[in-house]
Amino acid sequence: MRTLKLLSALVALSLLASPAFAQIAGVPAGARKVKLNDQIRANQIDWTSAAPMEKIKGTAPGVKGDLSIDPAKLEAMTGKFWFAVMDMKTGNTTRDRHLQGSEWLNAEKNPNITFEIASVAVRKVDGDKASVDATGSMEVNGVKKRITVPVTLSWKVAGEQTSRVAGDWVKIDTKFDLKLADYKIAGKAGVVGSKVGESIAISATLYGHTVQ
Amino acid sequence: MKAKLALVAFALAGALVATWAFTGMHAATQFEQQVEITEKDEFGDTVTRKEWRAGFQLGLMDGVLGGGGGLIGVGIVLLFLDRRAKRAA
Repeated sequence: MRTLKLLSALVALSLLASPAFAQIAGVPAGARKVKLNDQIRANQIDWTSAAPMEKIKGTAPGVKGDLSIDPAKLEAMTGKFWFAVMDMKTGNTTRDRHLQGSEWLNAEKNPNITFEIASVAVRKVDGDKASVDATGSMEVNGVKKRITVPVTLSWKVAGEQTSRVAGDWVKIDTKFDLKLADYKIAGKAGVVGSKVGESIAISATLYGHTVQ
Repeated sequence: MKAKLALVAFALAGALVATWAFTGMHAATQFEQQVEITEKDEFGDTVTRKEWRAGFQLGLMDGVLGGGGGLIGVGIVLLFLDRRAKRAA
């Protein structure tokens, strides 16, 4: 009987210590709405296409997002990120127009690129940072695909340092690759694989704040 | 005269290729340059911010091939016309 109790206590302890039960340090439990906008810093996605004939560096500014995050229950995180295809830049206006045109991202028909979180798996929580895998629906060029992206979440509780924007501050870091073929982006014949990479490397550091 | 103009065209084509080679050998012309700024953010983390700044860098596909090729073509035509004129004289 004593052995059974000891075993149960050990199982309970190991469950509590597992990432699924981890909580971001110093942040009270409870779901909060988090708004990603440009109030703390300019929210921008950086992307790179590395192809044998050309390396294109680009940006997608004005990334927005609406999230619901409970620092004590990160696996319950939900929300959506999006940005406008027309805001994407490569440093060459003609190339920007091609990128936004019907052969590539078709901004007229599909004005936004979005990612909607469906589920979150917590990998690690270390102080005010948490590493999670966010699985959700990525929509590019009107094509939706379920993908999992690694995300590092940082939390800064409202205080003197965050006084210029109301609420707790939240930072989201991510890096992942996106295959053009997965989203039926064919481009001009012969260009993908020579001048445009088959995969696009994406990285983003996004800032948001909790709202009432 | 035509031969001299042809030489000028070839020289301009060469200058175009040299400009392209010395400004990074980009495939497409860059009208803005991406600048990376590394700094500490409000969370105390080092982050790299990418900004666009005005800066022209000639590209191969939309600059050198068209412009340089055109100049070489003009030079060849001028040389041909010069030779024909000399032969006729």
